[in-house]
Amino acid sequence: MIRISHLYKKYGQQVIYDDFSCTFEDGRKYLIAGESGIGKTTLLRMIASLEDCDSGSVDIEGEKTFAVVFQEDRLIEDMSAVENVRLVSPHLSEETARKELAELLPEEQLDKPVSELSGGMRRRTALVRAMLNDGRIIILDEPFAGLDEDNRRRALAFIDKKQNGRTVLLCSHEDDDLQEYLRIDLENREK
Amino acid sequence: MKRKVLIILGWVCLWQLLAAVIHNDILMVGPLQVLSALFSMVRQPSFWISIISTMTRIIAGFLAGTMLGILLSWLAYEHSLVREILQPLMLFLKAVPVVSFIVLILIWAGGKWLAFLISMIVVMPIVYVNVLEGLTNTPAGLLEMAQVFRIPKKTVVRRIYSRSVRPYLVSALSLACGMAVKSGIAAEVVGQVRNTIGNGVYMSKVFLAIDELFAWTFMILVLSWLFEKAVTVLLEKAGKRL
Repeated sequence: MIRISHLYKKYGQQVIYDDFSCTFEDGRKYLIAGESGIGKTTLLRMIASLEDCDSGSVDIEGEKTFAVVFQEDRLIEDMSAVENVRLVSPHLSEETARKELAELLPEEQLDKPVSELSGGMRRRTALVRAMLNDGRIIILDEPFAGLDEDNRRRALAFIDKKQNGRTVLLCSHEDDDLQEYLRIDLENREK
Repeated sequence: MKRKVLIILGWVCLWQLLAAVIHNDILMVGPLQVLSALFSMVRQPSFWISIISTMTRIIAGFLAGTMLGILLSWLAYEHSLVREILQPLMLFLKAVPVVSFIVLILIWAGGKWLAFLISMIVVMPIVYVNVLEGLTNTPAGLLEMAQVFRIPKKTVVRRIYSRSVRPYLVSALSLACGMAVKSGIAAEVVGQVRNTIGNGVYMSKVFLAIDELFAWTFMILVLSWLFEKAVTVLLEKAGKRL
């Protein structure tokens, strides 16, 4: 369980969170919704221990391991999609990584340096990298950015398939197809 | 390529012409005389002994300076206090004329270690500054990704830092190669270290043998070029293995 209590966070003069509390239960899928700049990424970064809150607390029960799709792809440019996936999950065989990547990417693209892939393919590589990692909490910051409808649908199905009972925290601008996700609406919080 | 060769040939002809006009072997010799001097020098074992002796010390100093530079830059990257402590030292090493170090080392350590220590002192700050720059410019996003995904430090160094540092290290080492050879030999000239290239250069001055001075200079250029090529090839090979 992830318990956020009385969170306070500000950047310069702008207060992003003021006494914000919420709870994420293990094994559930959450959609963190809200307008751009409302603090979705900040919240995810604080949960992943990448940023500190000014006051309040983020408590995580159990193992604090994360698998993340960042707002940017953060791939190693001169490595292939297969190599990028195996870099963070070295226990995976090349064959497995290739098979899983092929669910979302054309097979002939898997050995090219990711710098030669399109924005959408890079995004899907970042998603496969996160989903195949054994982090207990999966954080997906705009994982469908730049994907067309068909690829978005396939990416969503891939998340479901690879969730394996882990907690998923996802933020996305479009949420029409995310009905089964529990919604945390940052718009309607007090702050 | 053909144009390049023609340009070089043009310069060589101009050189020969100049030597013919001056017509004084003490002031200027032509390329043919230099070649002739070189052929007679390469037949003497002392010539090769000098080259091996000088280049061994310079290469050893270059390697020591490179390793020390990399080690210190890593420590400076990891600990800002180390960076602050090293900053004046690096500024000092860059600002002080090499000849002052040459004299100091001659007094402290004698001629045997001169080329080694001078090339190390010259190479180390170049490598330090460049590698530190490369480390500092490592994409923060990738380091954060490595942290989140719990990638072991060894892998982070090999897969992330090395990629960022490589271009800086290549440019530092290609600059440092030439600097190490030039300053190492200059130190031997000043220190008059026996059985070295520097001593050969010094003797050609003493005996006013300008043809030998030019022949030594030509050899230094060739050795410096070969050294730089070898370092570049080794770095490329190492880069491919990462």
